Amino acid sequence: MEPWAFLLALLLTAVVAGGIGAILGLGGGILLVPILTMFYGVSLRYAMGASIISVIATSSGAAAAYLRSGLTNIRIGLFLAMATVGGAILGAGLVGVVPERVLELILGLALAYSAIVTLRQLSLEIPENPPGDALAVRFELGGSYYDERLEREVTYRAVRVRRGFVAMFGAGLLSGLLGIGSGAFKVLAMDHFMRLPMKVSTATSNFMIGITAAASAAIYFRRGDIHPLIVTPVALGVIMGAYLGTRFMTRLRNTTLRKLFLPVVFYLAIAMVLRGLGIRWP
Amino acid sequence: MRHVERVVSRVLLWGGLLSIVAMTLGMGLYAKQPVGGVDVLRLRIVEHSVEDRAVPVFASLDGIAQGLGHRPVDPLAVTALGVVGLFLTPVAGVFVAILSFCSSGDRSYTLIATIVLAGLLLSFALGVAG
Repeated sequence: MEPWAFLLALLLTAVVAGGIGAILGLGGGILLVPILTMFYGVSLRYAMGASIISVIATSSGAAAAYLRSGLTNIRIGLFLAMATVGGAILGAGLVGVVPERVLELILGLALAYSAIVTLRQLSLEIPENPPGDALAVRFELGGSYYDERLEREVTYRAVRVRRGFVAMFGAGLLSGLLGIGSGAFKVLAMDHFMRLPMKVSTATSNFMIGITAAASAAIYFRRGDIHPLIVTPVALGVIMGAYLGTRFMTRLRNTTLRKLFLPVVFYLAIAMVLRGLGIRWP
Repeated sequence: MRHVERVVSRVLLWGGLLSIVAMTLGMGLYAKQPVGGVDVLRLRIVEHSVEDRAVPVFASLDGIAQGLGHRPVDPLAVTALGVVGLFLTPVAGVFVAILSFCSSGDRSYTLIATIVLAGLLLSFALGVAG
């Protein structure tokens, strides 16, 4: 393949990854690492370096649009970011102390359980008048946005904030211990535990993964894993894809978004359980 | 849209765009070099020999500063500057959120955003991957 054709292919792949990442609140790294390594022959360390940069590019591109449209709730994002950043710091401190496989198994099962429970609310568009939660009232963990698909203003307020906070701490712990983004956990914690509209969950997750990935990116940078000739087309493509993804996502139903999200969660749950059992998984 | 959403979305958007412009500019200049350029792209990427590190991979701010101070400017230092700008963008977003909450007198969220920023800086210092 000619160099420019290669760069163009990389750019287009990144557009797709950025679009999906922005829609589902995952950052796109879940797609990029296997594609870069398997189809483009990029070494794993440079692929992971490109992936972490793509998470930040997705977050910047998508969060800017979602914040303007009111889908990202910055208060909920910052409130829960306390848990994820705290969990990540503790997780990093536990590297070598807690067996990674045990944690992968536990969290894989937790992910599978949450996904199965979410199946039951697959057709739920907007949670109906959820009861008030003292913490949600105290910290104003609610808001409203205009839903283009439903053509009406949607008002929401978080419930079961403590459980959501603990789940976010678990997501951060996993990030710190295993060095992964854990966007799926963040979306599930907001959608399942805190019963926020799915669109708000994915948009707020997009904002949060940028914050947590920034800390990782510094590590990758210092290790020399961020290759300029690979990350540039990836970042450019991802930010374009994220822009397109945000325009597409606002027109989707919450139920459609959940249906697109669940297969990814099941895939992650199976992958994590198998890794926890010591079975090799790509 | 409240003030905090407005300023944070502006920082994220412009931080992301300026970083991408710097990265693309650096790569464009690199590809136009008479020695190296497209041929180097072919060798280093297409033939999957990126791991030999013949393409300089900047891993420190000092290295980037030296590359920018060099005449002619090292194009990949410009790209690396864009990379650093990109991963500092969310941190800048949290920082302006603190200023915005503080200016509106929202003590709770000034404290919460400050805790997040402090945690991020601690992560940088400890080398946490999250």
